[in-house]
This record gives sequence, structure tokens and C-alpha cells, in this order.
Amino acid sequence: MDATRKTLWSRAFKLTLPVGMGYIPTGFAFGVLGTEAGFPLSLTIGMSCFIFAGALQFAAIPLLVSGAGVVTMAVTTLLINLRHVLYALPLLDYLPHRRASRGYVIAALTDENFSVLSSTPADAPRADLALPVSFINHGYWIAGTAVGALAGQQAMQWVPHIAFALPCLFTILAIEQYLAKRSWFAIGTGLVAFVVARAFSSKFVLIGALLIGLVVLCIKAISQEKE
Amino acid sequence: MNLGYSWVLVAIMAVITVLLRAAPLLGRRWLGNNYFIERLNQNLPGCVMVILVCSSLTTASATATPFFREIGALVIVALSYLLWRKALVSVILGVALLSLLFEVFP
Repeated sequence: MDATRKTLWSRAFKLTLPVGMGYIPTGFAFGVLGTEAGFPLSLTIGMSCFIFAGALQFAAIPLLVSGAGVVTMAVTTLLINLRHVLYALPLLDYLPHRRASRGYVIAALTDENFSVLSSTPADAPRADLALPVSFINHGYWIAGTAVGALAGQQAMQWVPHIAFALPCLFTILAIEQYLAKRSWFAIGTGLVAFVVARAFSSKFVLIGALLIGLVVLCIKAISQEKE
Repeated sequence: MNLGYSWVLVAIMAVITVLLRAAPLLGRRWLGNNYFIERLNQNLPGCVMVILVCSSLTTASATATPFFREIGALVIVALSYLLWRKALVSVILGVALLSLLFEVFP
């Protein structure tokens, strides 16, 4: 590795340290919950390698256990990750030039990768940093998952109610979303959609609530567009 | 749980996630100026997260009803996060508090 590349990777490592502080324990929690749900090691780690989307991976655990249908899984993925549609837009001019690197950076564009890449100082070589930043953050996530999956059985004996880490994590993400957008309408719509979906079905609560929420928010977006 | 079927579902999740992330490369002009998508993205993430909280709460609950222990623990998680902004601390606090509540109110 030449000096310029070494400097680039060490700079990327410094930029990604705060993300690592969050990714390693969260990945660990995912690994533990995957083991608790009965997933083999390969599936738990494979999810972190190929999906690399925290909220979706956590939400997928009960769906995989219950043997959810393909449509349910596809719609759930679409709704949970729809926000990613806009992430690449402001980064288009700062993506790596090589096609393979560019493809990987786009495929690994999580909330955290987006926040690091979009907040990199303007004088930094953003296009060159994109690959090491994405790669290191992905590494944190996979490493956390692997350790969690390996320590899963022991962790469950030491910590009862560890599955409760999941609602705790989603609560924190919901607070982050509220602080970013300050939209009580979004929070209220989510609550009402869940209550309504639960009242009508006990089997398709998640997908039902997500669809109700999407319909309400589409109507609101259309009405705002007309104003 | 059928392992082969689970891998198919994982592949579906991975492909859709990558396609969503790559969408701007495919439709740069349309997405960049689309007010509807912009407005939808203003509210959708928060709405989805609240639904995930409710859904995971019902899945993770050790008892059928009521959820007073879980809800009490989640309130503390939210307050501690607003106070300290340390995700890991809040999650540990939440799990520990729930275990304590189950000891006190079995």
C-alpha cells in the first residue's frame, strides 16, 4: 500500500470511529437476537454482509422466524428503506470513479455512511474517501454481528429480556427521526396505523400498519403538492 | 424455519435495498426535482420507526398484556437518550430496567 493510500485509509478510519462506536454494539445486539431466534451463524452474518441495513435486519428477525411471504418481505423492505432513495443524490459528484468501487459505495449507503460522506470537509478528497469509509463501517457492522452471534447463547443466559434491546433501539431511531424532521404528524400516523392494523388483523399487523401509514402519507404529500 | 427459503428472503431484501440506494443513478433528474418524493421522505421514516417500535414491543413482550413494564422501561430509554444521546447506554438501561421490573412485579 503506497503512502497516499495509507493516509487515505487512516483518515477514513478516524472519520468512521464514531460510527464504529454505534455499529459494533448494535451489530452485536443483532447477532445475539439472530442466535436467539434460531438463525444459523451463516444466515445472521450473511444478512449483515448482503443487506447492511440495521432497522430492516432487526425487523426481519420475527418475519423470517414466522416464514413471512415474499410480498410481505418485499413491501416491508421497500417501506423501511425508502428513505435511502434520496441519499445518493447529493453524493453523485463525489462517488469513486471506478465502476466496482462506485457500485459498492452505493450498495453500502446506510444512514451512517451517508452522514459521514456528506459531512466530509469540502477540501477532503471525497471521491477517494468514499470507498474506505464505506468499507470500514461495513466491517464494524459485520464484526459486531459475528461476535454477537458467537456469544449469543452465553449472552442470553447472562442477560434475560435481551430481545427488549430491539424496541429500545427502534425508540432511539424514532427519536432521531423526530429530531431530524420535527414531524408530529409522522409519529401520530405511525401510532394510529399500528392500532388500526392490529384491530383488523393479528397476522399481518406490521405490513398492514406500514401500508396504512404509506397511504396516509401519500395523501398528505399529494395535498401539499397541490397547495 | 426453512433455511433455503430464509436465504431467498434475505436475497430479496438485499436486492431491493441496493436498488433503492442506486435509484438516483437511474433517475437522477426525476428524483432530484420530485416534490412528492421529498414530502414523502419528510414523514415516512418517522412513521415507519414508530410502527417498528409498536411491532417489536408486541413481539418482545414476555407477557400477553398489559405492557406497563415494557412501556415504563421505554419511557426511561427515551428520556435517557434525550438527556445523554448515548444509544448503547440507553439500550443497556432499558434491558436492565425491564429485568428489574419483572423481578419487582413478577
